[in-house]
Amino acid sequence: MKKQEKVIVKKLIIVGFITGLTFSVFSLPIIEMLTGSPVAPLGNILFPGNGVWNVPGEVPEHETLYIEDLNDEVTVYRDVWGIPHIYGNDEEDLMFAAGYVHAQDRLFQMEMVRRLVRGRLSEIAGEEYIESDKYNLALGMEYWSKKTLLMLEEKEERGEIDLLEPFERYVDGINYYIDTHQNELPIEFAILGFKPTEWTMTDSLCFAKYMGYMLTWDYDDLYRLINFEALGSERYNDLYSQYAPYQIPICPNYGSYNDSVMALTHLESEPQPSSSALNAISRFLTNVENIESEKQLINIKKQNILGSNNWVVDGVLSDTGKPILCNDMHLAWGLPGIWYESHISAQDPDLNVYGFTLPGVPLVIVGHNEHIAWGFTNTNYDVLDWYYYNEIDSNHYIHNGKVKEYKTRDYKIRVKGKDPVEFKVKETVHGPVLNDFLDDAVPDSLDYENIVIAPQWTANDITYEALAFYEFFFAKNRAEFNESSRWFVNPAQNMIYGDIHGNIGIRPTGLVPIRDGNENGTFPYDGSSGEGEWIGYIPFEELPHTENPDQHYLASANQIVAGPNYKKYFLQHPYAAGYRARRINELLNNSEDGTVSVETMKEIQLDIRSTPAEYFTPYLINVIEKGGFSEKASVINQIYSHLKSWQFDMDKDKAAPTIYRKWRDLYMEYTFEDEFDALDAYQYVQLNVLEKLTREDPNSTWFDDIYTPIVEKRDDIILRAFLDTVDWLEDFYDSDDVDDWEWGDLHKGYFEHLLEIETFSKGPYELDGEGYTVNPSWVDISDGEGRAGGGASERMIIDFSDLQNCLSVIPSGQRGYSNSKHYDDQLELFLDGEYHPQYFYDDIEDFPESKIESQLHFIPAEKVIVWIAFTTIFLIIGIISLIEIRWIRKYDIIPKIEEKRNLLVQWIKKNELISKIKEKRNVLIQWIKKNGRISKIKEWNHSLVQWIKKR
Amino acid sequence: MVAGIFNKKMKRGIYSGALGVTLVWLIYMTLAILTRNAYANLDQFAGLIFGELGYGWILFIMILLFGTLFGALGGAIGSGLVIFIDLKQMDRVDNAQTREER
Repeated sequence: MKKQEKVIVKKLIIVGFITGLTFSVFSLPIIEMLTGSPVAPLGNILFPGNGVWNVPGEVPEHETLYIEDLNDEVTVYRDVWGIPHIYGNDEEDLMFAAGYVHAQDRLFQMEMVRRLVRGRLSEIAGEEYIESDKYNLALGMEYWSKKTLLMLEEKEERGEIDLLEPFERYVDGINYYIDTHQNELPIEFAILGFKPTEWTMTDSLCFAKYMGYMLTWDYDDLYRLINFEALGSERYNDLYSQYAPYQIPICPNYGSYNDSVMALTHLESEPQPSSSALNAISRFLTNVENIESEKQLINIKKQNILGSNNWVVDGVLSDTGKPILCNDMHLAWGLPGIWYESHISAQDPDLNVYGFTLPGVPLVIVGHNEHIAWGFTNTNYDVLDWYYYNEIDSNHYIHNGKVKEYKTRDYKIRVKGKDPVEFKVKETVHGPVLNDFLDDAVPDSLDYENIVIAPQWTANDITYEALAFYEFFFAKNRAEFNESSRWFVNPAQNMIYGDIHGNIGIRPTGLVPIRDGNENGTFPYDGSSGEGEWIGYIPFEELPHTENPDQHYLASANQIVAGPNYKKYFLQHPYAAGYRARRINELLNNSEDGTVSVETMKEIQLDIRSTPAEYFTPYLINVIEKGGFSEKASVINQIYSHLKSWQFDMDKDKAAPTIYRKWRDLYMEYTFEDEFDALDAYQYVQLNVLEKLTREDPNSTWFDDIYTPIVEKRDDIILRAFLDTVDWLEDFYDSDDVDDWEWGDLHKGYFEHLLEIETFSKGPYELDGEGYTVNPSWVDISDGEGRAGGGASERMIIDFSDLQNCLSVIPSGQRGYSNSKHYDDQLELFLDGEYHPQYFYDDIEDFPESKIESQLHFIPAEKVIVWIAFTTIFLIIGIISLIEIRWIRKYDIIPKIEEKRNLLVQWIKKNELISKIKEKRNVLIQWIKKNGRISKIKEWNHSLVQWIKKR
Repeated sequence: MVAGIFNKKMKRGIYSGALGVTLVWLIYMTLAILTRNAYANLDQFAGLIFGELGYGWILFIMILLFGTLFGALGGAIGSGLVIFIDLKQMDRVDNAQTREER
C-alpha cells in the first residue's frame, strides 16, 4: 500500500473510531444501564427523524380524513380547551371519531392502563414488573373482560342488545389512528422504546374492571383481622364500630343518626382464625405491600384520596327554578389526568351528550344529555370478601369440608430482554389464589402450613356496566335512567340524578352480596369450613334510594348510605369519616336567602372550611387558655391569637391551619400509638372516632399513655401534642414568628407524570384545603412538606335552567402530550378555582366560530365514489377544454394575445430595460475578472474534463 | 458522503460533510421546534438526565455535534473513496504508459 493510501486509511480509522464511539453512546441504552430505568437508547429518542422530533404538539388546525366504511360525514370541532365536539348523523361514525380523538390525545395513557390491567408491563419495562403482571393477571380483570365480551356477543346475536357495532367502530377509530401515526407518537413511546399495537374491545372492557379495582379492591378485611387479633374484641369495637359517629346518611328517608355516641353494634360472630391462617395473612400482606401497584393503591387508600362529592338541588332550592347538579370525583392526580371531556351530538339518532370519558372507553361516565344529568361518588359497599383454605396438594384444597380441585388459567408473560415466563393461576370456588406465587419478603418463622388465600369480588364476573353507560346516552327521565342503571355492577356508585323536568334523586347502585348466616364480610372467612358464603345479591329495588325529598336536595360524599331504618341488608363497612358530607349539608341547609345559585355551587365545590377543625380546635384553645406556659410564652400567645380569630378555613396563606393540622396529627398519634405499638396492631383510626372520644369521653383509656406511670386524660394529651407542635413548627420554619408558618409551605399539590418523570410533572403548588374539606387534598406532613397526590379529578356543575351555562374543569388538560398547550391548561384554571363553560350546542351551525380551535373532518371514501368523482372531473375538464377551443376560435383570441405581447415589447424598449440588464451583467463580469474567478472556474472546468476523460 | 465525493482533499471532504449534515439537522430541528414545540420535549427529556428543566440546549448542541461528527465521517469516507479510486486509476494509467514505453 502506498504512503498516500495509508494516510487516507489512517484518517478514516481515526474519524470512524470517534464517530463509532459517539454512535455507541447513542445506540446503547446508557440510561438504563446506569440507572436501571427502562429508557431506550438516546439515539432513538434524540436523533432527527426519531423520538422528540416526531412528537406532534397540537392537533392540526384543519384536517380532512377520507375513511372507508364511514356512512356519513363527521365533523370534530375542538374548542379553546382542546375539547372535542363530535357532530355527525350516524352513531357508528360518531363512535369512530370518538375513538380517533381519544387515541389522538391520550394514546400513551391508554396503552399503559391496558398493559397494567392485562399484565403486560414487563414486556416493555423488564423483569422488575413480573410480580405486578402476575398479580394483575391473577386478579382476573383481563380474564373477566374477555368473558364479558363473549357474553355481549351472544346477547347481540340474540338481538337483546345493540351495543357492539358502535363499540367496534370506536375500536376501529383508535386503530385507524395507531396505523396512520406509527411515526408520530407521544414521547413516552420513544423513551420506553416500543410502539402501540392493535387496540381491541377487550382492552376497552378492561378499563371498567380497572375502575372497579381502583375503587373497590382492598385488603381491609385482612387488616381488620390483624387489628382484631391484636387489640381484642372490646378495644376493637371501641374503634371500629360498624356505625361510625356523626354520620348524615346519603338517603335521608331511612331515618337519621343522633350526634351522640351511637350504640355499638357488636359483631355477629367473632373471627377465630388458626395461627397458621393468621401467619399466612400477615405474610401475604407483607408480600403484597412489596408489589408496586398494590403499594400505591394501599397508600392511596390510607390517604383517603379516593372519595367524591356529589349533590343536586331541586327547582325549589335553586334560584333558577330548575335543578342544579354537581359532582367532583376524588382520585389520584396525574398527568395526563384520568378524565377526558367529550361532547357527542347527532340529529338522528337523537343524541346530544357531554361529559367525562375514560380514554379507551367510548362512553360518558359522568355528564349529561339534553334531558338528564348524573354524577358518581363511591358507595364503599362491601363487595369483596377474603377466604383462606387448607391446601391438600398443589391441585387440591378443602372447601366447606370437601376436597376440591383448583381450576387453572395459564399465561405466558413476555419479558423485555428475557425469555417468556410461564404462569399458572389457581382458582378456588370463590376466586384466584393470590398468595402462592409472590416472592417471600417475610421471615420463614411465619409458618403458614399451606394456607391459600383467595378473594371473592363482584368485579370478578361477567358484568355489563358498558350497557348502563350506553343507555344513559339516550335516557330521557328518571324511569329510563333507573332501568339503565340496573346493568351497573362494579364499582358500586352513589348515582345522583337530576333532570330537565325538575326531578332529583339518588340511588347507591351496584351488586352487593348477601352472605349466609347473616354475616357482614368484616373479616376474612375460613373457606375450608364453608364460612361466609355468598347466597345472593341485594335486589336492585331494595337498595336504598331517594327521589324528590322534602329537604329539596341530596348529597353524598362517601358517608354512610342509609339511616338506621334500613335494616334488611348489610351494606358497607367502612365508609368515609363524613366531614365533607357534614359541611355540604350545612352549606345547602343554610344558604343565605334560602336558595342556591350556580355561583353558590362553585363556592361549595371550592369550600376549604374544615369541619374537624371546627370541632377539635376549641379543645386546643381551652387547654392553651389554662395557661401555665413558662417557656415560649411569646410564641404561644401568637398561636393563641391566630387560633382564636380563625374561622377554620384551611387557607394556604394562614398559620392557624398549620398549627391545627400538626397538632391534630400528633394528638391522634399520641392517643393511639402507644397501645398499637405495644399490641403490634395496624394503625389506622378514623378521625371521627377521635372526635367522639374528645367530645364525649375525655377520660377514655385510649388517652392514657401506657408507657408512663401516671394516667393521662384527654387534656394531658392535647397539651403534650401542642407543645411538641410548637417545637416542630419552630424547627421546620426556622422562625418563632408565627405569621411565617403558612399552611401552603407544608401543604402542596403535585401532579405527577404517568412515568413519574419529574420534568414531565407539574408542581409542587401551594394549596388550600386538606383531606377533610369539601375541596380536598390529603398530605402527610410528618416529615415536613407534604405533597398531595390526589383530590378532585374533575368538577362539574349542570344547570338545567340553561344547559349552555354548565361548567367543568379537570386538573390537567385534554392532551397527553407534554409539548402541547392543552397538556396542563386546565390545571391553571383548577388551581385558581375557575371553570370553563361547556359548549353544549346540539346543532353544529350554532357552534361559535371564535371558540373553534381546530377542525377535523371525516369523509366517507368509498372507492366507487372516488372513481366516479375522478371520472366526472376528467369529463368536466374535457368538456371545458372543448368549449374553450371553440370559444378561442369563435372570438379570435390569438391576435388579441399577439397584440398584448407587442405592447409588452414596446414597453420594454421604451424603458430601456435590455441596456440596463446588460449594464448589470458587465459589472458582474468585471467583478469576476477582478477577483480572478475565471481562472478558478476554468481550473475546475479543466479538472472536471480531465477526470471525466480519465474515466 | 455525497459531499465528500466532490472533494479530492480529505480535509475538504470532512468539512463539507460535517457542514452539510450540521446545517440540515439544524434546519430540521429548528423547524420541528417552531412547528411542533419539540424543544419542550427535548428540555423535559434533558431533565430526565440532568435532574431539572433548562438543559435542553445541551442536548440540542450535543445532537448537532453528533451530526457534525456523523457528517465528517461521511465526508471522509466519500472523499477517501474518491481519492483511493483516483490513486488506483493513476496507477493503472502509469502502468499502461510504462507498458507502452516498453
